[in-house]
Amino acid sequence: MNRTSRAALLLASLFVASCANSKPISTSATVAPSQPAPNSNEATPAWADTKWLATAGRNFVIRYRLLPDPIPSNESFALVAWVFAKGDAKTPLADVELSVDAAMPAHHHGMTRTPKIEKRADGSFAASGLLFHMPGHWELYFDVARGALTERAELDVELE
Amino acid sequence: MKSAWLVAIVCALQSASERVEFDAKELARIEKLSPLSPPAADPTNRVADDALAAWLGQSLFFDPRLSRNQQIACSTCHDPKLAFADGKQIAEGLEKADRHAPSLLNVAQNRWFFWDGRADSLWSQALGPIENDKEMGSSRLRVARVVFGDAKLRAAYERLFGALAEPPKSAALDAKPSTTNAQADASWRALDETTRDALDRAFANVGKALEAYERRLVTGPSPFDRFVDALRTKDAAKIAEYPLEAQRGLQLFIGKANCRSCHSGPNFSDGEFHSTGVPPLGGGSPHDSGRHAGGKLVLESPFNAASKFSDAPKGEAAERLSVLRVGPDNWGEFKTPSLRNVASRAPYMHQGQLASLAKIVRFYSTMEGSIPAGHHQETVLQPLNLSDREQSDLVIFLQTLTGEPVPAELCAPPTSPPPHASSLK
Repeated sequence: MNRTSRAALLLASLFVASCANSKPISTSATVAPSQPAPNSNEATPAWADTKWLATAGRNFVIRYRLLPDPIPSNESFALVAWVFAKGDAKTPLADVELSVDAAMPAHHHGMTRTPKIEKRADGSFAASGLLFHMPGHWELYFDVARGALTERAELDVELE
Repeated sequence: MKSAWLVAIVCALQSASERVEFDAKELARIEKLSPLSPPAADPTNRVADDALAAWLGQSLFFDPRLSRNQQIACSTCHDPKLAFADGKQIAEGLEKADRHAPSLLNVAQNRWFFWDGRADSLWSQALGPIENDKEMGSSRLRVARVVFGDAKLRAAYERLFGALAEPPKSAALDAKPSTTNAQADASWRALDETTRDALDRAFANVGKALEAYERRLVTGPSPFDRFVDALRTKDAAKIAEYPLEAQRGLQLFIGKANCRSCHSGPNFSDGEFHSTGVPPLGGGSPHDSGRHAGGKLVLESPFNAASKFSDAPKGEAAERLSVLRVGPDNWGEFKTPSLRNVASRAPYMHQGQLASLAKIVRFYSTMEGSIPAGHHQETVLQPLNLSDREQSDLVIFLQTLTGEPVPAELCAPPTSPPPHASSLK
């Protein structure tokens, strides 16, 4: 288990503990937490049924939805993401910036595109124009910046 | 009679024992390579799939009047008898050009055009060689005059695109915007803006007609496609028709040799750009910047997908431009060519440096003589150390990617009159 995964596990437990209505979740950092049963007093949040990652510095959790999921080979894809502070799973952070990029570490190259990131009024970030043009191991990076603090969460993707 | 049965049984056992067994992962990878679907729609060209536009494009493709010396047509370097290429290392028009002429077979499958991807549509690409001083050396003014002065061409053009304004008779025939031909550029700047815009528009429309023709240069199923179909239907007899050597070559292609890393999908190309390490003709260090310049040029092109001449300036292709990443890492990168019909279009690489498929496979096996491409850090290519038999198997596999030829009626100027009906409304 690498450092990122250990950090994810630790933050996962903190994150889950903060979800008052959540059921226990898998310890895998990329598995979607179970969602609470619909509550008549509370609208289902836009990030319901999303997957999530923790940043390596353990200060943020990113919930994300790949569009489409799984990522297609050599076809454009997009994603939408929300950033949460450690211990608060209810309100996406508004005072953060998110950038998204990716690379194939074994090839020493990244994508042939620079994704567009749109910060929306509801606190979500929409990233478009991503392309994994080759099969193999990709790392998808979510870089969160909040003031002087910048932390990265990585998603490993094996593309056939 | 008994002995005949015995021979048949022995042969069957022998052939069964020699079959290549593909596991589930390999079969999934193979399935992704076939069949080749028809080219995707091109919304940047509203006449891309129009029969009349294809007729006009086919007429223009074989017409040497479009060139400065009246002797060079698109078909000069894209000869139907040579897989719509020219068989030379470096293309030759009015003079020797800079790169190898690629085949136009299945050309509409591309995402980017030219070796460096400096065009993002087939219609935009078609305009480049017409005005390139080393190729056809012509001008958009000359092209407009040819179309305007030919009753049949003009009638087809005007049915597709509306009235064609008479090109100015007083202007120098070589007038065109150019960074390398000062005289032609000065003549172009001497024209008023309205005239220049009308000529730009006519030129773009000519490109769109050429695309409509070139989109039809599609090859039929190859022996490999028939093999994949047989795997899907579990047709043992048809599977056995595919050479054992090719099956072994295919297994290498999707496995140990890792060719599919770049040559992926049914067109056997990722459509993007890579550094191969093949030394330039004449040796030395790489001096052709490839995608480094090509990426910049496509963004600046007045005929790109986001331009006013595009029929979908806010569409998907324009969106692709808006996120394009180009920089020093792209130095010396060239587009991954399709491997379909590869055996019919030697020589290979962007300068035709490698004369045969055997030489290509040997190069990638040993990487002998490979040179780093300047700033580029990509390390996807490593010596494969293939045995002689493995190299031979890969070549035989590649030879099975040759599809059924383009219909004969598309291999010469049109002999039938222009179609009366057009799909355009």
